[in-house]
Amino acid sequence: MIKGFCLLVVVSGILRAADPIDLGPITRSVDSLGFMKPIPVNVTGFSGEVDSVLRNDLAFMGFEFVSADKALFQIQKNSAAGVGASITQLQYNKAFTGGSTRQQTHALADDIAKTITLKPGIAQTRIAFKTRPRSYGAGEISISDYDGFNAMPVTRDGAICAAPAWGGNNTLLYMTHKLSGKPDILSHNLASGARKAIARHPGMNSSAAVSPDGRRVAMILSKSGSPDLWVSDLDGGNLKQLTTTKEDESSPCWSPDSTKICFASRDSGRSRLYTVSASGGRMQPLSIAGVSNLSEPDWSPDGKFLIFTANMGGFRICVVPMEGPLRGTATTLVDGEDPVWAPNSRAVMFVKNVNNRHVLSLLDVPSKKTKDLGTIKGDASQPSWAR
Amino acid sequence: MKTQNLFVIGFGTLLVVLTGCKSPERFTSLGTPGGGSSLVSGSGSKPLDLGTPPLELNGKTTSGEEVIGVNAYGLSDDSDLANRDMDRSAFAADTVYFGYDLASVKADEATKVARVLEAVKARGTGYDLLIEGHADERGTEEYNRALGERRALAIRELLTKSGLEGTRVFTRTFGKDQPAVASHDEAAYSQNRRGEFVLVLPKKLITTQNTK
Repeated sequence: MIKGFCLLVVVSGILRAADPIDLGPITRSVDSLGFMKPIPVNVTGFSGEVDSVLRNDLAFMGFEFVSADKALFQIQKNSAAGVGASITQLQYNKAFTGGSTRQQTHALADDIAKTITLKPGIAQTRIAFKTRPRSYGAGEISISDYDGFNAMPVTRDGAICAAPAWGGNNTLLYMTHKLSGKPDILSHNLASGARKAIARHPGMNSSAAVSPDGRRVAMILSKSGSPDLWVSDLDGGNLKQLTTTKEDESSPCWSPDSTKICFASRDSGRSRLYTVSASGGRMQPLSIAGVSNLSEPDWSPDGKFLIFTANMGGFRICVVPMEGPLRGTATTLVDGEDPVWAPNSRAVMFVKNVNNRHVLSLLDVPSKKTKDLGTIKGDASQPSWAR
Repeated sequence: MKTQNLFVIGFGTLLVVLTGCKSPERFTSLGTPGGGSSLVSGSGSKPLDLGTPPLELNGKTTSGEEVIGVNAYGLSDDSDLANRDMDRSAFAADTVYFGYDLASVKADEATKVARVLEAVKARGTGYDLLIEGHADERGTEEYNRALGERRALAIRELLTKSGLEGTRVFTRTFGKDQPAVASHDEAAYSQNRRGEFVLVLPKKLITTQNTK
């Protein structure tokens, strides 16, 4: 569906090669954590759905909206067919046709963001998540656009499905599936619906995470007598045990170069974060100051940050730099759990508790601004971002 | 693998004793029919392909017979557990409760484990035990899935150290998916951090009548 849309997109107007534009000090202006400061833009001429979609998209890709006299860039609607804009300060004049108006707007937002911030766009990406449409006990997997629109069910199995993870260049979802009564790991082909058992070992099989290079799967198995971290090929073969603690490990994620795995462990009593080489070796505790009871790490695609949940009388989303002078010092961002980075290493999807209902919410990490995905009904949790 | 072909078209009554046959393809239809229009083509409608991944078991003999339970800590093959009858009431009074964020069995809870141990031993061979581990909602989701399993395994360790064969004790985790009490206070949480015992009945003797 999305593929078909991409083929239909036509870029018209001035077909300028998408060379990076030298913005001088703008892209080098960063905050104390090292995030690019919001780029002030003035957006005019759009209305209705296009205006709201464009503004929402740009808000989570590093832009802020200001009056014309304070803007670095003036983005105005152009007169081309489809959805298009020109940017006064740049030789930029493009329009997107094909697909829905919404998709055209996402394509324009991504293109503007890539042109100005040089970061990957997120407006045309998708997320997978767990829904709990019925009572306790059932969980299903759905996917949607990153902003919660066009949600569609992937499973309708009446079992507990959980912990979705994208793989196979975003054609597969790995998931924990309890139809057999206990957690097993399956892969589900989004195009064909075909499913394969990846891990059906004795005990618990859960928390699959596919490496960014698409070659290995990290997971938590209890077959050895304790919930440990294991890694396998994409089909579950070539299985290797990476941790041997007596206590439980959980929530593995990968470093962007696919060489390391970060995970939570209760090995030292309270839960801390550790890393281990994906090819084996000792697990190394991460020294993170100012927070406790850590779980659910996710490594930013640019490698610079870990985001995770700290359980300190309530769940808090925290970020910690993995390099630079603030390495190891955590910053608490918002209340919530299960954070996952967008491809631009700036926006994050997380789970907010609203009157004991779980709601997916977008977070712009540097500004701590959030926006709930109001279009997803019922209880939604465990987001995984296709990146 | 062959259990589903064991329909008998012979004469009289045939008694088929299933001894350790594994039937993972029991779960062939993961799709729920009639679930409305799915926008994901083919979603949930294909049979589960169990052919591809290697199902690593604890050991195999040269004749292909599985040798399960190689040690007290490694878990035994539990792939046919879903096909066995369970008695959930037998040990309903023996649910073990845990402290917050802890997976160690408290001394006063261990007496329940001892009681279950004697009861299962008294039942004799053929009866097995399933321990279901649960957590309260104050941990994150996958963290609690692992913690629930760890709690079940802590109880299993007590049992195996006391002489119950590891091959007879299975574990399942529910994380925080199935709270015993669905409210959001410590009174509920203390009831939800638990390990429940389920008596697994002996594998059934399947009989097929020839109606002719």
